[in-house]
Formats: sequence, C-alpha cells, structure tokens
Amino acid sequence: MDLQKALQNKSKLHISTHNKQHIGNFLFFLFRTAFFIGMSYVLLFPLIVMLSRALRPYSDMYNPSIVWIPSKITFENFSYALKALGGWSSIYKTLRIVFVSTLLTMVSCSMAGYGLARYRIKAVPFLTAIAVFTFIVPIQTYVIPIFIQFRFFDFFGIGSLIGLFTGEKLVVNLTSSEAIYYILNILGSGTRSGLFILVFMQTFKGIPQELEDASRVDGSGEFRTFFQIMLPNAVPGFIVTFVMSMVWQWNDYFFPSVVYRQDFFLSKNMMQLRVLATKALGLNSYATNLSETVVMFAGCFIYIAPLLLMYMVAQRYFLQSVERTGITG
Amino acid sequence: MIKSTNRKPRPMSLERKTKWFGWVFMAPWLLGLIYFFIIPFASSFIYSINFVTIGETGLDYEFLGLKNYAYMLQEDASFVRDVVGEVKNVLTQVPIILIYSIFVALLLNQKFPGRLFARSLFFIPVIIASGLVIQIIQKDLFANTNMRADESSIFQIGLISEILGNLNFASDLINIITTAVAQIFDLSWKSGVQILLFLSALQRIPPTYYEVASVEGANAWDAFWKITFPVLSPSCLLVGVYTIVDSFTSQTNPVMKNIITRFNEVKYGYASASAIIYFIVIGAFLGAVMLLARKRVHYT
Repeated sequence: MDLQKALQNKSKLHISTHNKQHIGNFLFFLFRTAFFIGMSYVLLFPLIVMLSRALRPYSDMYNPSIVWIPSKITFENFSYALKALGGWSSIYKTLRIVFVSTLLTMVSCSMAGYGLARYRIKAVPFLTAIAVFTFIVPIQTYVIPIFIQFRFFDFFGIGSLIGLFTGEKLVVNLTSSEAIYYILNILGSGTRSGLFILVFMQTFKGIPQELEDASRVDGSGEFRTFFQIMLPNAVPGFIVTFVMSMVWQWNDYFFPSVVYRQDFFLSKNMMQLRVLATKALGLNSYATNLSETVVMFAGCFIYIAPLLLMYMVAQRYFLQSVERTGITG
Repeated sequence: MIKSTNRKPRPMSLERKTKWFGWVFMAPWLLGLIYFFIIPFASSFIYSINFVTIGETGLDYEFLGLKNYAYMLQEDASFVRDVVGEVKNVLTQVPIILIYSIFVALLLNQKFPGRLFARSLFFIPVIIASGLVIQIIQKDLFANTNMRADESSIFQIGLISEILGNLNFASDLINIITTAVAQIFDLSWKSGVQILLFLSALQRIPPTYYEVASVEGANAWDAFWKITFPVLSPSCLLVGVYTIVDSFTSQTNPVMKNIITRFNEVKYGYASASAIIYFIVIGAFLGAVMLLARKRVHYT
C-alpha cells in the first residue's frame, strides 16, 4: 500500500510540473462536457418528441409555430393508442408472458451455468462451445421446425411412445397457448438463453472455491450448496439476466409473428401500428395521416413505458451488476 | 497464461460422487438443447430439400432434392441481392459501432461529475434496444409529418455542408462528414449493449497499470495503445461477434422479413432453405472475422 501511495504522489507531482498537461486536461474537459451534452440531446430526443407529440391534439401538427410545447395537453391520443394496441388486457397478458418467461429463464440458465462452471465434467468445453453456438445461430434458421413441434406437440416423444401401444399418437396443438413460452424458457431455450448461460457461468466461476469447500465440509449437499452458498453470491448475474431477458423478450416480434401468432402480443401490434391506429380512430385508409401520427407516438410511449419504469428502478443495480459479472472476461 | 487457473486437486471419490450432480443441474438445458435446437436444426435441413405441407398429425414431405436452393440462388431475384446488401451493410456498420462504443466507454469510465447520469443515459438504448420504436420514429413518423423534423434537420446537415463548402472543402469529404454526422443518431441507438460490455471490461483493468505507466513517463496516448487496447482486445472480439450476429439477425433487415413472409405463405421448405443459406453466409463471415482476429487478440 505504501508503494502505491508513493506512486500516486509521484504521478501527481509529475502532472503538476507540466503546465502543458493542465491545458490539455482542460481542453479535454471541455470536449467531454460538450460531447455528453450533445449526446444527451441525441439520446433523449426521441423520448421528448414522443411525449410532446403524444400529448397534443392532432391539429397542432398543422401549425408550424408549435414545435415542442402543445397548444393544450390532451390524453385522447393515449386512449386511442391503447385501443389500437388491444387495451389493458393485451398489455397485461404480454407482460405476464414476458415476466414469467424471464423468471423461468433465470432458473434454467442459472442451473446450466452452475453445472458448466463448478463441475469438472469432461464435456464442459464442448457444452460451452454449444452454448456459444446457440447464441450465434439465428433462431430464423430453425424456427419453422420449432413451430411444427409445438403444432404437433408430443411431450418429448412420450406421445409418440403412447402411440406405439394404442395405435394413435398423442399430440397437442400448443401454438395458441402461452405454454410455448414457458416450456422453452424452463428448458433454457428462450430468447438468447445461450448468452445468459454464459453470463451465469462467468458469475459462478468468480465465486471462490474455498466457500464451496467450506460448505461441503460443513456437510451440506449439492443442492444446499447451490441454493445457500452459490445463489446469494450470484445476484449480479440474476440482475443482468432479468433486465436483458425482459427487454429482449418484450421487444422480440419475430417469435410472436411466426410461432405464437396471437393478436394481443404488443410487439407484434407495434409492427402494424399505423393500420391499427387507423382502425381505432374509425377512419378509412384515405383519411388524414396526422391524426394517426399523434396516436402512434402515444402508442410508442405506452409500449416503452413498462421498460422505462423497470429501468428506472433497476438501473443502479443493473449497472453495478454488469461490472461485476465480468461478461466480457 | 490461459492455463494457470486456480483449480486445486480434490479427492477423487468426492469428485466422482458429485460429478453427476453437474449433469443434474444441466439436465433441463440439455433437454431443451436437444428438443429445441439440435432436432429443429437437423429437421430444418430436411425441410429445405422437400416440398412440405401440413397434414393431419404431422408434416407431409415430397422430395425435391436441391430444387429449393437452385430456385433461390438462380431465379429468386431478391434473395441474393438482399444477402449481399446485408453483408455490405454489416461490413461498414460494425467497425464504426466498435470504434464509437470503445470511445464512449473510455469517456464513461473516467471520473467526472455527472458520470452516473451520463451512464444511465447511454444505456437507454439498451432498454429500448429493439429498434422497433426507433424505426417507427425515424421512418414512419417523420416521413408523414409536415414538420421536417427528420434526422438531417436535427443535426442541421444542410448548414454543416454549407459551412464546409464555404471553407473550400472537397465535395467528397463533405459527403463523408455529413453522412457520418447523420448516422450519429443511428449509431448511438445501436451501440448500447456494446458500450456496456466495453465499460465492464474497462472496469477490470487494475489502476496500478496506469500508475506504473505514468511513472515510466508514458502519456495517455501510449497508455491507451500499450495497456487499454491489449486488455480490451478479447472484448473487442466478443463485442464484434455480438454486433455482427445482432445486425445480421436484426428483425428489420430485408432477408429476415423475406423469411417471415415465406413462412406465412406456408412455403416451409423454401423458407428453411433460405434460412440455411443465410446462416451459412453468417457463419462464413464470423469464421473469417475470428481467423483475422485470432492473432491480434491478447488473452491475459
């Protein structure tokens, strides 16, 4: 420690003796401040535009003197947007699917990551490579067989096995049931699960061996070690997985538009927001664009509101966790 | 360097006893892997060489051989064009995204007042990452308003090129600068996760490295190339792979849209064939990137 302090002092001395460096630092400070102010404009711009337009009556859009502040604040657009997106029930249903799926992903991926990180099984490097592979291969390549599997779901071969005895295969059409999501996620095959398994693997690898040994010496079994020693130490991994999985599943519209084709799914409705907004307003397609436009802005805002809320709550823990999981290691 | 992990030898018997628990923990994932990855992956290939229709209890196949592939590559005008366009797009976008996100991560890694606010700001794109909302805002909405509030007017592109023109810049140079400026919006919305990953890598460089370097008389520029960059290089590869996969499979690109359309037209065989060819292209691309990067990446 003394050495470190000495080094620090020396480097401070080093800087203070160079006026040039002072000027350089100041210029850099100016540049950094300007950059961040500029970037906050770029990053907040869409949110501000969205809110400003969602809150105005559509006649304001014709008025070139109104840029940011509406002539009067109206919530009419939001009620139309809500109608276009399918009402509260579709928000609730989508949120339920995404939330439960995320919890199940956390369960399955933490278990898989633990198995990969803490057990010396010969196949681990191979299995890790496969986890990377599942992340790299786009789901588009194999989504069609997955759809077919759920269209004729035979309970992992059990249905077909029954078919051998009774002569008739037991198959269920699951394509319109939420169970698709739950089955995929509890088996670690949800949206980008491969990545979450790697995140958990890194997290569990970072826990000292001594902790595990101590718990073994104290006579706890494998599951007790996992639940009481490992899980409390893997909180960063859980937070990262929770936030990212919520975000990715909420925003994913490929899966709901190909496999789970239900009308209420929000991300899918967002894709055809203009058509739905026209319908909600009760207009024909030749009607004015601007009344739909403000409704669409309101729709965008409704769509991102749950994620924004979650981010505001989880933000601090999320940023800390990302640093501590060491995903990039 | 890589081999020196801190594993300690443990008694054999305990290990053998606990080993199968590892498989127990991985069991759900392995089941999912077989049923929702390996089998679908294999059957996707089978679909692609057949004409597939939905029957009563399963699929009916009619063997086609490589006809789906031949049709796609020779007669379908859009497929090859879209894939080539996508490859070009990724080639130009990924380096810019990488450089930009390293740059922002370096800035965010410094200690300055308002750092926490700046960080949470730069991760808003991670949360609204889909591009769905952004796409609506950019393409659909601004195109239909009479306010001219599109990207080029946010950043006063006209003004910039006018000023540069008055300063006697070459017109090619002006074009390059204005497109770069116009893309800042796109760029900052596409590199949320990348900044996050780089920042987490930067956090783990011990500050003592920099102290030693400064004692040795290195300036910030030297320190970046001799310390930061080598330590970041594995992350560069990871972030690069992530970005490549992400932009190839972005739900808004024409190839992906095409596959969805084919699927909705119940042309499963054809959709599978195009997905497989597309994946081979992505795989080849990633393979080339990894080969190129292998010698330049330093593992610590």
